Amino acid sequence: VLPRVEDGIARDSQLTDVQRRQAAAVRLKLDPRPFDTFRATLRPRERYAVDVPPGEQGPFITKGEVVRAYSAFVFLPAIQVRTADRVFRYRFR
Amino acid sequence: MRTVALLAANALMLCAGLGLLPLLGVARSWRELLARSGLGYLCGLVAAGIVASNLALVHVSFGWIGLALLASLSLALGTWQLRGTARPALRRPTWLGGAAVAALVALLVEYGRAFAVAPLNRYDAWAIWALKGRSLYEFGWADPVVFAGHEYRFANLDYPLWLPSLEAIDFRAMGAFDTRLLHLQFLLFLVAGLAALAGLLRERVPALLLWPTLIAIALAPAVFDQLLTAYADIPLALVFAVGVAAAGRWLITNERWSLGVATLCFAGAALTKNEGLLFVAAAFLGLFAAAYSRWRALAVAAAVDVLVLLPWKVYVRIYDLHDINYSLTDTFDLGHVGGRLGVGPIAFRTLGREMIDPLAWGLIVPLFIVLVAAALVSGLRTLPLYALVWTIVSWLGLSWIYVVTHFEYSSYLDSTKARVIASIVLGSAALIPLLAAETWASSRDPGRLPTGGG
Repeated sequence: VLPRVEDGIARDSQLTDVQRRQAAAVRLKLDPRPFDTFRATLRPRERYAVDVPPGEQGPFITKGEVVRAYSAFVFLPAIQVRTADRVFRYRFR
Repeated sequence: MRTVALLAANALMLCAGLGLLPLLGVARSWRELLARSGLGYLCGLVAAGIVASNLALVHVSFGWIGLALLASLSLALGTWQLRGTARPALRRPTWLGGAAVAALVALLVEYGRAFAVAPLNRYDAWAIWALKGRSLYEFGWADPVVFAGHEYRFANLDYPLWLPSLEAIDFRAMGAFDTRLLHLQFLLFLVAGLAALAGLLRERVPALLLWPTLIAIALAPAVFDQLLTAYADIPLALVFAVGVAAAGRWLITNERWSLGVATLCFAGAALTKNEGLLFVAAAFLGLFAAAYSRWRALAVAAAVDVLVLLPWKVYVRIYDLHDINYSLTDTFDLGHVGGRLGVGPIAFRTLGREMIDPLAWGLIVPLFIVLVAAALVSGLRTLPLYALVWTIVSWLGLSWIYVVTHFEYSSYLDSTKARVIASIVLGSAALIPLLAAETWASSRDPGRLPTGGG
């Protein structure tokens, strides 16, 4: 067990605050920068919608649905709704 | 500073739990309180989570003030209950106990280094648990704009709120949504679980059985790996395991307080995940099968757990929330189930292999199986019957989920098999010392019957 612990420490202790904040996006192979840019413009409880193509199908949900889920998490305390004046657009490269 | 705040919030939960012990009948004197104080931290976590998750449904935020009130009230009532009772007597720890505690502390400190730097990057951790914890922290309650919001359906909205409520308590205590320090709370769940098992079993089983079991749990690679993901499976498993052990002790001793602790832990387990309800139902089935003559006490315990879960179920009904992964009502969709019956045995075998994987769980489950068999051979009935019923019903129940789900079963099984069985493995681990001690005593004195009748 302990080598696993040491591996985890060696890997994760090198992360900067920004890398740690973006770790989930990086793991999902998403570009974290558009999320950071949009988040900076949001106010608490502000409604926003997400415009993203479906993308490839994963085992349970599409890549587009993953982006919607990640947006819902990372943009809190703003609130994701189906349609809104504020729209977060994300495109896969 | 945030670390201090997180630890201070946990210290208040420990105080709440210590005050709760006399009220549950666990401690009838200061001496018993000291002897069984290991149960205090987990009981405090479970109680704080239950209170906070229910208050979250009625627009009441639970933070420093709530924690301080809960701890003060609990301590005041507990102190009142213990007034004039025997003072604690300090016992010199055995060399084995001392060495085991030192080893566990060293291990947990080592784990702590990893938990202190881990990123929150696993899907369920942020998409379900931390999202809900942060929403409770930001909005102050289970605001339906998120907790019943169409765009948030991916977050398993029908899962109960015990874990997110504890996360929200931490965020309120720290004054920030800190995804790094959140991991420390998961390590503290392990501390609380191990301490509770020690407090619960220390008087009933030899140190030679107790401490190696606790070290085996702490050393199991799956415990470390899964706790570090900040998923709910290991917290659920730890709370459930303490409930299983408390119920096992009740079967042997018929002490009412043991059933009280089991009831509290089962309530916490049922309020953690939907699967927790399956495990709790299986445990009660095992208890009724093994101690049907004591059905009144069990009926009261089950009714209390239903009452604790009821407000959440009302919320789920009001907002028409559904499980996105499976629906047990699909059991009656013969067209769907008929074409998938072959999945059941595959899932059953796969989950079984996961449970006995030594690289994940060590030898916990093989040892448990050997001890159940030995207990039956030695003439014991109550404890091994209980152990057999709840484990097999839980195992069958988990396997059935893969039959009724509308997901492609192999992907669903592959992505969840390693963690859904955590409650069965840790529940089994919690019974190992009791099974071994009772079997040993029974084999030395075949005429001996446990206090609980058999």
